[in-house]
Amino acid sequence: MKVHHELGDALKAERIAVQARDIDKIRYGEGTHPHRIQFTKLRGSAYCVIELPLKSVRERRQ
Amino acid sequence: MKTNLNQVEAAMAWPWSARSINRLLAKLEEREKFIVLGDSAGLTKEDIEEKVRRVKGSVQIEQVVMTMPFGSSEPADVLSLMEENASLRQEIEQIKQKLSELEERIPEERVIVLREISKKEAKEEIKQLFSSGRTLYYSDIAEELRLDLELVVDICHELQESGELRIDESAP
Repeated sequence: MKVHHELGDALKAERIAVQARDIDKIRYGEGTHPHRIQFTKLRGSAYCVIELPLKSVRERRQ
Repeated sequence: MKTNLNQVEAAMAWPWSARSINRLLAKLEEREKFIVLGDSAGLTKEDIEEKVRRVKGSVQIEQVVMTMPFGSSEPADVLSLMEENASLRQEIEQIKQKLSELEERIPEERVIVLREISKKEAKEEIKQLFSSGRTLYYSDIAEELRLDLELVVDICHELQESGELRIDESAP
C-alpha cells in the first residue's frame, strides 16, 4: 500500500481515519454544499488513510 | 440585580395592615379597660397597659423590618423592577439553552492506551475479530484492539491480498 510523504499529496474520500500526536481544535466554516464544513490540523507523526467497510470472506462461505 | 416579588407585595400591603392592627389594639384597650373596671379578668390596669405596650412595640419593629427593602418605592419603580426581573429570567433561559447546545457539540474524549504486540499476534487478533462476521473499518479495529492504525492498515491489506478479507459493498 502506497504511503505519500510529499508536499501537496492529498487524500479525498467519504471516510478517512486519522491518527496523530496532537489534533488542533475543530474550526467551522461555510462549505460549497448546504452543510457546514470543518477544519483541523494533525501534528506530529500524522497518519491518514482512506477506509472502507471490510468483512471476512470465510464468514460468507459458511 | 435581584428582585424578590414577595417582598414587594408585603411592603405594598403592610401600611394598611399596620393601621388595622393599631385600630384593633385601640379597641382591645378599650374593651380591656372595661373588663378591668368590671374586675372580671383578674388582671390589674398596669398589667393590661404593659401587655398593650409590648404588642405595639413588636408591631412597630415588624413594620420597620418589612418596609426597609423598598423604603419609599413608588409603584412605577416596582413595575420596572418586575419587568427587569422578567427579562433577566428570559436571558437566563436563553443562556441555559445555548450552554446545553454547546455541551452537545463537545466531542467525548476517551484515552486509549495502544498495545505494543508483534505483527503476528496482531494479525491473529484481527482475524479473530472478523471471524464473528462483523463489518469493520480500520479505525474500528484500531480502537477495539488498541492497536496502531498504521499496523492495522498494513495487516488488513495483507489479509485482503491473501483473500481473507473483502470490501463489504452492502454496508451503508
